Amino acid sequence: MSHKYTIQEVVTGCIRKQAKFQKILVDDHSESLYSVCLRYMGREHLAQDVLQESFIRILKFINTYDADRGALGAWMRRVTINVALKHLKKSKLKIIDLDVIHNDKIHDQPSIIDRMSYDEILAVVRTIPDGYRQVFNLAVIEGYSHREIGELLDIKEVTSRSKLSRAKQLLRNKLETVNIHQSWTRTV
Amino acid sequence: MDQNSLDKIAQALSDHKTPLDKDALWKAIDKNRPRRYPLTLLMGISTLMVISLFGFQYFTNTEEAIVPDNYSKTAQLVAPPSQIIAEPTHADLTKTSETTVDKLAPRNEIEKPNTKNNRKTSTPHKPAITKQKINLENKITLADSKKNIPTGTSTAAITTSTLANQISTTANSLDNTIVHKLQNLTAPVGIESVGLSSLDYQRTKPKTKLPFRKKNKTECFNHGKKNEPWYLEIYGTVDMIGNEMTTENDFSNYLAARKNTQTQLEGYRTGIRLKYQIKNGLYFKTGLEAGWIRNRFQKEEVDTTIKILANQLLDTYVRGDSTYYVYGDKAAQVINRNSWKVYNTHRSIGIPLLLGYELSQKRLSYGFELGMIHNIVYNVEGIMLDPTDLKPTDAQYLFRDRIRTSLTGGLSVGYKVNELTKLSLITSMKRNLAHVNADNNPIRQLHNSYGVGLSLQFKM
Repeated sequence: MSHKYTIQEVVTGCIRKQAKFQKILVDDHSESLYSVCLRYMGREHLAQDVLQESFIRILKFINTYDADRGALGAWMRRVTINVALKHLKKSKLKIIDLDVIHNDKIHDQPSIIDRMSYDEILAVVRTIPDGYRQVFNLAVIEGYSHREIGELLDIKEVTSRSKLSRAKQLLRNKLETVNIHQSWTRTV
Repeated sequence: MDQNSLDKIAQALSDHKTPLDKDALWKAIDKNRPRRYPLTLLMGISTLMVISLFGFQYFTNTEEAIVPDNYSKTAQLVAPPSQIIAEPTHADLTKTSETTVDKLAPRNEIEKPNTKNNRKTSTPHKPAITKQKINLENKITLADSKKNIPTGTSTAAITTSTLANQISTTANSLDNTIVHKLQNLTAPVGIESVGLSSLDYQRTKPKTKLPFRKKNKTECFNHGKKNEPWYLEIYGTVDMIGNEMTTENDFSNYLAARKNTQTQLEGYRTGIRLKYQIKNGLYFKTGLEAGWIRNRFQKEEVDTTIKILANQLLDTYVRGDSTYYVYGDKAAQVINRNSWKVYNTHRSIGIPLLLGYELSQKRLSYGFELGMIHNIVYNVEGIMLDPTDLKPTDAQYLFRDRIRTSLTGGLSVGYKVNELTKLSLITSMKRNLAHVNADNNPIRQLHNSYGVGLSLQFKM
């Protein structure tokens, strides 16, 4: 933060629709929310659209933000996720339910994840198909329960569980491939 | 996949911040963000509304406002009905004048208590005038009747006549204006038109309230309404805009680029004007007019650069049972795409001076007007191409802050909603006589507005 204002002052300024404070809010949170948008939307231009719409909604409804119920960042993140999910619903993505494979083998893979940069992890996550990635993001990154995910995505709780399971499997397969590549790189 | 791995992935992704162009993001948000309306604008609108409301109230109440004014005068000048009703009947002409005088004298004494009782509602001197007026009428009638008494009547009758003459002389000394007002006040109720004196009327209808207490709008309108030639007009139009752009040959490329990137949209005008009816349908108008002209700037720029990416997979080959991967620097083409879709607005405020003629037929009226608008404020908000490098730039500095004079005119068809209000369908034209561009702008641009709208006119 390169400014002298407290969060409360920024929020108050935004409620009063003062451009200065609105810009401060955007500057402070745009990068973290852009990451959220990228995770959900996959493509940059879609993520930028969602980010823009999210900020407009945040600025419009910031008077509903209650500091006692959580941090401003978390509230903004939640708004952004909702906008992203709404966009994904609008785009009518067809999520093909694959057979559920309960095959969570325990692999000792911390080493590969530790070696990977953010971009690489994101790249791997983005290879997961949209429907599974949504559930993965909500469950693993945001910490939503399957019931909440079911409500958000308008799917059954059991479907959410199976999608998460499938997402994990796809991620694991991808990480194994990366691991092989990196091993070979080291060999060479 | 174990929980530890998932936690690490979650931590890596959730706390990450991806850099982006914050200024570009803010520009995009700024167009649609909730904004506070400028205080001056709100105050202006509020003032306009209050003026309109008061104006409307005033115009609609003017007619009625005059009526109570006369009524109050009436209440002051004329005694209450009870006092007048208590007046004695005409003197009996068959009796002697002494008897008549005797009858007149105690009547005044009887009236006094009544007058006192009624002082609460009337000024001290005015009931006296009323008494004089009423007594005067009695005595004049008496005197006139005596003239018809045949020769040979008693000297007492002559004395009575003399008395009447004296009273008549006294009457002449009364304030003629007040008497005239009294006569006028009784006139509208038609007493005199049926040949009755006011006292005759009161005698025949002793318990009825005086009719002048009833509202008679037509009478009061004719007596009190001033036929002011002023009108207040509020109007608004939606305009189709003709945008003439010309330039010298050297900047034909710039002109072409401007035309390619700009799409003319509709404009709006609204204003408030005072209209002065000069004579026989000829009128003059002036006031304030605000105008908005919009266009859309749309452009897409694609910028391609070559970037060297380190540690990229260049090749894969198999030797025996082993697969080998070759990593190294790799050239990549980076395509940056920038697009703009901005709505530009030209705003202006001017003082219109118009001369017009209006032909009225019953409720409908047809008019035309012609004049000029003297511009006092002009500004442009938006983005358009810079003449030097053809890059999108802030449009404001490419335009003047005043555009001098514009020619304006229009036609109207009005419908008189009531005596004070008129609703009109208007067509209006406005043409700038001078271009709107600053000196650093090689384009010479003239706007022509052709609008259709509505106007509401109130009589003052």
